[in-house]
Amino acid sequence: MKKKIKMMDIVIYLVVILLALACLLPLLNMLAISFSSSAAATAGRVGIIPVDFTWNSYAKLLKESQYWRSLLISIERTVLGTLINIVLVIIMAYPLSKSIREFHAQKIYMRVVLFAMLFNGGMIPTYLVVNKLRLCDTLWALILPSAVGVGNIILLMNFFRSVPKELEEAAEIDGANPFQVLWNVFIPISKPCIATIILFCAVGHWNDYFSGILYISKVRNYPLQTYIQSVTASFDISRVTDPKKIQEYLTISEKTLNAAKIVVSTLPLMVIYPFVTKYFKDGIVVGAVKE
Amino acid sequence: MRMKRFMALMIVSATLLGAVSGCSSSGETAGETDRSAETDAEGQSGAQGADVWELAATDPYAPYPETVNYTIGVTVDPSRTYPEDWENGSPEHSAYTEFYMAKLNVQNTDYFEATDGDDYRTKVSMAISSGDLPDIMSVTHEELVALVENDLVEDLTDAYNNCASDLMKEIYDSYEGRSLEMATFDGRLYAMPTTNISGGPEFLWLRKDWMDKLGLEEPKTLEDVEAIVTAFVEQDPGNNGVGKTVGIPLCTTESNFLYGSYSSAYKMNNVFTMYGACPEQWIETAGGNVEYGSVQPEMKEGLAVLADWYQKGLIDKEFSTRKYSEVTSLITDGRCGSVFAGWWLPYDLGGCYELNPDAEWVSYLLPTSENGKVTAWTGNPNQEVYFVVKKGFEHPELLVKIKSLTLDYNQGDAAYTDDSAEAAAYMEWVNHGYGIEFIGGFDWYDAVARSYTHIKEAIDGTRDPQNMTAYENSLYESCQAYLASVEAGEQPDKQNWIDYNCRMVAAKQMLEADTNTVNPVFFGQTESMGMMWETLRTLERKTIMQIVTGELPLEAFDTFVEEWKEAGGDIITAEVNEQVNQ
Repeated sequence: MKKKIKMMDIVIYLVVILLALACLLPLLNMLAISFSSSAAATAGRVGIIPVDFTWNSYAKLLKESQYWRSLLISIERTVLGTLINIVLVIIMAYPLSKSIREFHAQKIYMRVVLFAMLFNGGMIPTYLVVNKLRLCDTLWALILPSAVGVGNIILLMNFFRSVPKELEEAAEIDGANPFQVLWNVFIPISKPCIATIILFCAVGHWNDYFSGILYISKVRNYPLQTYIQSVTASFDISRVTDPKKIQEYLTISEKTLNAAKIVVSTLPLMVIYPFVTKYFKDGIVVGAVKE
Repeated sequence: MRMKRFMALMIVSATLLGAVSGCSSSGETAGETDRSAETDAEGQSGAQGADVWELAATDPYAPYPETVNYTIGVTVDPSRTYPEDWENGSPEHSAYTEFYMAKLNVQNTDYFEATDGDDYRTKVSMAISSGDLPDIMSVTHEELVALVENDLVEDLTDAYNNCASDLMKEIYDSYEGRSLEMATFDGRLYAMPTTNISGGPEFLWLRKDWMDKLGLEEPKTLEDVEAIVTAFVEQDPGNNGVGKTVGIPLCTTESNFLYGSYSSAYKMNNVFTMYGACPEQWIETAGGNVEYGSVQPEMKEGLAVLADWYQKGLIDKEFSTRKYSEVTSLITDGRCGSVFAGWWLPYDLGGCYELNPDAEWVSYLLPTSENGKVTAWTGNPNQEVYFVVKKGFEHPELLVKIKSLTLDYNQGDAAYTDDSAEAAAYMEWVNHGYGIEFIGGFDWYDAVARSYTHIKEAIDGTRDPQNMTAYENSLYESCQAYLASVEAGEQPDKQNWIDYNCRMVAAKQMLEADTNTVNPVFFGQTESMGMMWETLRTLERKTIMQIVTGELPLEAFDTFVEEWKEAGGDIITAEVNEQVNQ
């Protein structure tokens, strides 16, 4: 019996280690490429250890003003966007977590929310709306279309429902109004879940590049991931036969510099993760299971 | 506790950032009011100086009496830097825009900026589908046809006739009308196409140092080529280890198949043309009909060679998943010594030269067909870049004027004669590649041959180095630097090595090459292509891949042709014939 468990453990650990490696190796490879000479990187000789170690890419990166401008925009977007996300999620999830007896229209609201989650206008109609609202080329175009995260609302709603009724009743007896109940009872209790949602939103905002391509029309206003996507997207050289252009594309596609850009862009998230992970497990499990 | 502090920090920083963004957006509004005030002023004075406006609208070089603002969708390269003393450089504010302003009194406002390729295409299709177009943008041929049909773009015929400089007309004429014809509908011109220079024939590039090491003779026939590649793969002259050397690499990505666009890289077009096939091209047959090259019986012989070579291990075993950059890696790493590519391959060999300066690449015009010549087909006279002017824009000639202006400086001799500060700054930017010239020019059909002749004559001392375009002049300098370092016994700089090998060695061979030339007759789109072409192309590529890798026998090609014709190929062929005969 004991032996069997050990076998299982080995298998589980192996799978987990493999998964971890699958996540870690590409990152290490990027890191190694960013510190390698450009010829070695082009030749594909770099694994997870830099070849011909050099700081060149980072020295070049420091001079690229658009990169740092985009980095600031991304930080601004992530902070502001996450804040708006979390406020909207909380004030929406709280009433929805009430039973129909307390909140008669709960079902209708829930259905509207679910409907909007399952069906949406699609890319072009959404673009038209954003464009007509004159949001294009502003930070708001990146934040408002995704301001209400339905998945997160459901997650938090379920977490709220798991909070013992007695706590709420006690607060009400002490004379607390609904806002005070939310602020003083529900939010402190739901910290793990809220922290998890903050992480989801922040990662989503940070990594999203496509809305930047769609809604931002000037490169000066690109968020970081859009910028990185636009400089690393492999341009198909076979479509170009203009020698000047061929030369341009072949000389600018610097693998090492692009790797440095990617490495620096992942740092902010890596800094946030350790603060939030301890809430992570509780947040998801409790929020997901209860109905 | 820590959580609280974290939250507090978040809230504070968010408020701060919110405040900052609030400021910047109010600044923008102020800017817009200024601009609209300007336009009002223009409207009033416009009535007074009608003659000056008239002149500006009909003369290539006459500036507008008042600043004309135009909106434009531009291609950009976000990683391009600006000179250090140019802090607020942007596509709206650069040496280029100041130059246009100084010469023509025009200023652009960017409607959208995006990198060339998919991003730009997304922006354009968004603009078209929302009906909200910039005054000037570039579209593909397919989009052009749709825009013209829906009457959304200006007729540029008069603008071209009046405002195209002589140089512009001369360059378009070097395409014998083929370039402008693609932008002409019912005799009226609707776009300024960006031309596509002649790429010349495709070469077989071999590592000469490997051939010498193995004592191999120069190849003359297809059998010789096979023998050399076999020797490369089996005898491992690059010391890569057994089985690590790749024979002939090919790419098979979405837009980069093992045949197709000619004079590109890492394809095997010459093996097909040697048997008279022109895959993916619309060719006029002896009977006068237009037929699609990929479904002609001549294809089979080329396919037989490919399948045979694949089976013998002479074609990269992993070719079905190779991307362009991966082939470059193979070459740079010294794991491959035989590729098919156009004259410009050395641009892709820089890394190889850097890691191993002794790697010597030599190009051969092979394999030849029966009369001893390589058969090459000519490409689309235009890139998929057609500049159009929105219907209703007051100054449609503005586009022609800017392009004429840049052509005079980039392709003509204005750069040497104009000593104004703006022109100097402009050329400085062009030569250093600062920012990106968003509405830059295009080139003569025989640009590569021209540049070779000019540089060669200048090196020989029979031509004044200023009697050529500024770009050619920079190449000339580079080639001179290469020759100087060779003479001094030093290792030439990478860029000089590239320029010399492209412009002097390969271009010479290209100019002197005696080839059979086939002119495909159709590059556009037909009505049914929109619906069916993707399916047909997938069918074609899938079948070809399976035949090459031996999954299907060669005979499967005949079944494929039948299937292709039934699945819409016949309809499209009929449509193409109709369009060509119009």
